[in-house]
Amino acid sequence: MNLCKRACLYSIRKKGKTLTLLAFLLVMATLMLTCLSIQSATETANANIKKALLGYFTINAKTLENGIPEDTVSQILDVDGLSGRYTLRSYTYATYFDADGDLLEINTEGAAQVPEGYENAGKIVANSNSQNDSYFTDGGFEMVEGSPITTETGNQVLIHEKFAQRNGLSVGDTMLLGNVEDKDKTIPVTVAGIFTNTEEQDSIGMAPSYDLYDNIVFTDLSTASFLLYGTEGTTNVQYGDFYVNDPDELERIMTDVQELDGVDWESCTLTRYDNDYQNAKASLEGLQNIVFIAIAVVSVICFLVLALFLTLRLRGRIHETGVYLAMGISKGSVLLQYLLEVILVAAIALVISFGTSTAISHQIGSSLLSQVTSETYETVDLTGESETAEEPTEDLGLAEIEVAVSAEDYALVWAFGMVLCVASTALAAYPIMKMKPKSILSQMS
Amino acid sequence: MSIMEIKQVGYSYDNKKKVLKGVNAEMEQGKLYAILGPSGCGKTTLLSLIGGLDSPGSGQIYFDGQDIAKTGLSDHRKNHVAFIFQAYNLIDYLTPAENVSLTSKLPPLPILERLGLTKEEAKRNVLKLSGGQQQRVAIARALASEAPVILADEPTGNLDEDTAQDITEILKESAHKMNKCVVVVTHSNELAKQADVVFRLKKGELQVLERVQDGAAQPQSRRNNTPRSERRAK
Repeated sequence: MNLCKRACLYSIRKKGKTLTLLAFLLVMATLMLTCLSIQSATETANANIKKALLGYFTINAKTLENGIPEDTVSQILDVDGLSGRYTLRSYTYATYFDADGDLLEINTEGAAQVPEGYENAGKIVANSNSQNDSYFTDGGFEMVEGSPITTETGNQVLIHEKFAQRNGLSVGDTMLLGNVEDKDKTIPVTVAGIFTNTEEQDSIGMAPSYDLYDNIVFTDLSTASFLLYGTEGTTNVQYGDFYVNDPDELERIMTDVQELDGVDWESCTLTRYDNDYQNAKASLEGLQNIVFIAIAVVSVICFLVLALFLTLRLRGRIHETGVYLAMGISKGSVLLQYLLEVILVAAIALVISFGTSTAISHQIGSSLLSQVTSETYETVDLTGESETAEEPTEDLGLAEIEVAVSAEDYALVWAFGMVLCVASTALAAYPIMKMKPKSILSQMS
Repeated sequence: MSIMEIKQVGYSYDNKKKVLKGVNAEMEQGKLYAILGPSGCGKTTLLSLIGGLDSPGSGQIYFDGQDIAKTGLSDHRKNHVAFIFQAYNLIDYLTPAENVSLTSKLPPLPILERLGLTKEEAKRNVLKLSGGQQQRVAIARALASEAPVILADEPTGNLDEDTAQDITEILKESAHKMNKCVVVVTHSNELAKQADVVFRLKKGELQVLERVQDGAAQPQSRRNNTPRSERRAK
């Protein structure tokens, strides 16, 4: 009778022992697979957060004299690691005139004060794309009529619908923007669109007249550059936001930017913005660390418990071992039989564990992950850099994360399980196998 | 011609207590040998050494003229000897037929039936058989192995008188009809009476007794502790 048949007969006929081993190995495989699934899910969550909470840096002109020149922006855009998404911004104030040069009326109701010289002036917001401006993305501004302003459009403005009504302006009309300090320096612009605000202004009653929502005018960067720096034919900006592909590389990219030639760093500052990502990452890393420790602990405990279990089991089979050896069956053959019995049961346990761990990891993993991701959203909210949406999980790409058993994890558990079985059986059988047949037989009696 | 030859075999436990002191013996096929002696005198140890379960401290054991230490103890156990133990030592998760098949590729039923087991009993769990039936299975397993030497350690020790007599008959038949060399370690004078040659192990030395009569065996005039090779030389 060969060892395979002996192993099969033992496994079938010693049902209690086989089922006990099966239960133990099933729990072990399920635990291991669940931990690995959660770890994979946290890695996916981390990747999604990287995509959603893009890190970026801002270059800021310290003085109002020159701003940041176009060629500096071009140099920065060539730095390796940038995603290609960027926003250039400028802010200034301008006095508003109609096409004939007559002053336009602004809203002063609710203003904390109307500063001298600003009786007909308002805030000018220039952006490489007005749709990407925080007033529109987070401040509740929305277009009512016309089209947004981009780098393609020149000498155009977006005005508030109340400002338009107050002054009888509509899309296509011309108005003049004049330098507050130097009223002779004006630039004609066309009304490209009209916007409104869906949320009330928070700071109303404290804000000066030019900062009231009604009095804000959005324009292109070139127009703002003319008003700020008096430039013509070239565009200098106050701020530039540059997004990176991998927030973890932000430090390196900023170092590369600081090493660019020809940039006057005396008049510019670089500021890092990746708090949201770092906070979210810290939350996920906490879970990843716990899962990593859990995997290590489960592995060690599984090995020790399995070795102990098999030691006790084989100790109960000294009699059988002695009989086999007395019959001339080699120690290797006996050891292989014992190993095969464990591997047979382990294979069944691993097959079943796919189902059990899928169910368990889906429940426990989703619960753990949602706990961590809700912490992540709270973190993001608290920093004030991003606002929580109604269903924030969709924004960060975490809602669609499935805690499931992957083929890689399953293969890893199979490999680990088999190594564990071999190591545990060898460890458990070693004391018996090193004994002489007579010693084993004398223990039998 | 002897199949087993024991030559100047010595053995001590933990290099202290010497239980075998230069034991010499020869055993032939077709004979039943009994080894008598008080408890702890080293009978089972001698049987273990003959069966290749352990190595002697000194001396040699030959099977068919070959030193078993050189040909390999595992090979000796596998091909030359078969054991029968007092506690039967059957594999408890196998049926009698499967136990017999452990050592043989021959069909197990004929030999089990010859030893008095029915087909039904041959397929039952071994633990559900009586002690006598279990010992028959153990003997069947030994005989099925086709090993020329059968080593039995107190084979009737756990059995009642009638069953012990049956087992003794089977062992005797195995020697005489199947041409086996059967070596039995026993306390039973009844079994020893049936043996062709009776040894007594005393104080580490092996003596050949003339015959066994009513529990009192008389030593032969000449001790059989001189190896055959030495006798030939003389």
